[in-house]
Amino acid sequence: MFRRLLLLTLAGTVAAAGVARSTTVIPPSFDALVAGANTIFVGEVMNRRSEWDVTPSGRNIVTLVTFRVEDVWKGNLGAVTQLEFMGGEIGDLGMTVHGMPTFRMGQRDVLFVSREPKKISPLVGLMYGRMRIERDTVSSTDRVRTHDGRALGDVSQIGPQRAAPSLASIAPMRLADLESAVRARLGIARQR
Amino acid sequence: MSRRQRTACGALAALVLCLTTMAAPRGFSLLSNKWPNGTVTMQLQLGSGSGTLIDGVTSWNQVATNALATWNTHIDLVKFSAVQNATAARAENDGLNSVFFDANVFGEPFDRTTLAIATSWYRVSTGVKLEGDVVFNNSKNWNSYRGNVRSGANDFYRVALHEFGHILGLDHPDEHGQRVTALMNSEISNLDALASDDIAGGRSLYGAGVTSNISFPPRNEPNDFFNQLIAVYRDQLRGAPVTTYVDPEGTVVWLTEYARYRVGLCDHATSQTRVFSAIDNTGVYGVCSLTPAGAIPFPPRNEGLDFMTALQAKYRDGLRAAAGSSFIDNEGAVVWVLEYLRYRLNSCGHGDATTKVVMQIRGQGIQPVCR
Repeated sequence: MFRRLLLLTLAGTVAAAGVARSTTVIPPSFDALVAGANTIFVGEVMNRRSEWDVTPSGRNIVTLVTFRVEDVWKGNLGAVTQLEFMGGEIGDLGMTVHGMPTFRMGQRDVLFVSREPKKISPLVGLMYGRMRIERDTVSSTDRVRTHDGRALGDVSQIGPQRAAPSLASIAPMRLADLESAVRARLGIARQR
Repeated sequence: MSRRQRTACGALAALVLCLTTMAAPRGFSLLSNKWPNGTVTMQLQLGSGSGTLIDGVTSWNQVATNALATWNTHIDLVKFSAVQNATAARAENDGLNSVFFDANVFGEPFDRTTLAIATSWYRVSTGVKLEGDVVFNNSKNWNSYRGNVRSGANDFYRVALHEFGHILGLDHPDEHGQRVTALMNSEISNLDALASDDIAGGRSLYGAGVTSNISFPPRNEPNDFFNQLIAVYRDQLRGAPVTTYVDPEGTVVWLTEYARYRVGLCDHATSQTRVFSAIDNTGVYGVCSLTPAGAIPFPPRNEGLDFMTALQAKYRDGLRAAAGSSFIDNEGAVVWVLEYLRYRLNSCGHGDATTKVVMQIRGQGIQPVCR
């Protein structure tokens, strides 16, 4: 009885938390994430540094994040790649682009890198093209969360009209399942 | 029991009490930087060619002005002002706060999914904001309306409210583990106005405060307590004098003020800033929130000690106070003055509170409050 009540409570909670769209970025669907990416890879942050970037309207700070490439699901990459994000800190001056992903050393992510090389963010959908990987230490399984740390139950929960997280998403989906979904989506695209 | 041991016991008691009476955690999330008190001037360059929008407003600048005015009704120490139809160059890191439509964010093109971007410049060492800019993607279809989000028309007003919240120093609460109703969430449903959590966040940064609903004792009574405490330390604990820059009255008055802000749910930094503002005669502010019914929340000992250390530095370096001596060190002052106030705020009279603190100092444990 208690378990059933708990499940009902959880179901009610996640249904009430359903969202429509972002004020800043319209969350891309899973299909749009895959289709909009030139490369999709699993990477670990090896280094990051900030530098000045001269643009037609002045100088910005950008942060260059270097990844050790563990696995490539779409496109071609070498063993190491680097992505450039607007914002960062140089000396006593900082520039923040609100919503821009930030990375810490050693962190592992799945990254959907945009087809359009020079954008505010190199990722599809600014921050949505980044999925965090966490290691389930009990089962030694890699699991996946969204850019903001929400448990991702399955790929139907990605996107502007994303489904309310299912109860299954209390345990985030496995990295292997996300890879299968991406590869399946790419297979469908190739058949067309 | 030595003086140090007794102080430690008192500190432990205060910590336990604090942990059991701490206020619930807030929902909103703050960035690491904020504006100094004053006016934040936004250069509105959105143009007037909107036509009549769904909500009846006839220019984008006016919609943005309305959003700025909405924030202004909730904050006190900083106010937005708007320069209509500004003509300043649209540049980053120029000290101007620009708001405009464009296909690029200072040289970098928008992607298809991004509606608007806010950027901030700040001093890393001080956390002081220097500049905040907002760019709206001009390839998107915009309008201005209340109510549910409409397909094919992005509501400029709520996006502007959100982005100006970033300019003030608010982050996305839902990206920091919070599950609250807020326009500052990274994703919103059909919320078209600031929610109480957004306002609480804005006020935590720039609110002048409210009148406390907690009565503190008249100043002469904590002073009398402190004089008795000095006698206990000198005559019974045989404490050796320590160097101090804060005289006894200053210690009691400002510790009491610090406690008043903390009981009024201000965080440590805000409380210290407001006490120092009173010392500098640059403004006397109310507390951050009414104290909820039930046990009175008190600050952790380490934060009280941090405040006392900062107060010593303030007297020494800011007020150029001469060095003096006291039988009570900073830790003893913080622990026992806060204990005295805790008893007083929990219905004990001056005599009872003083007696109970002295009993604690003598190792007789935490005494019951008088409720």
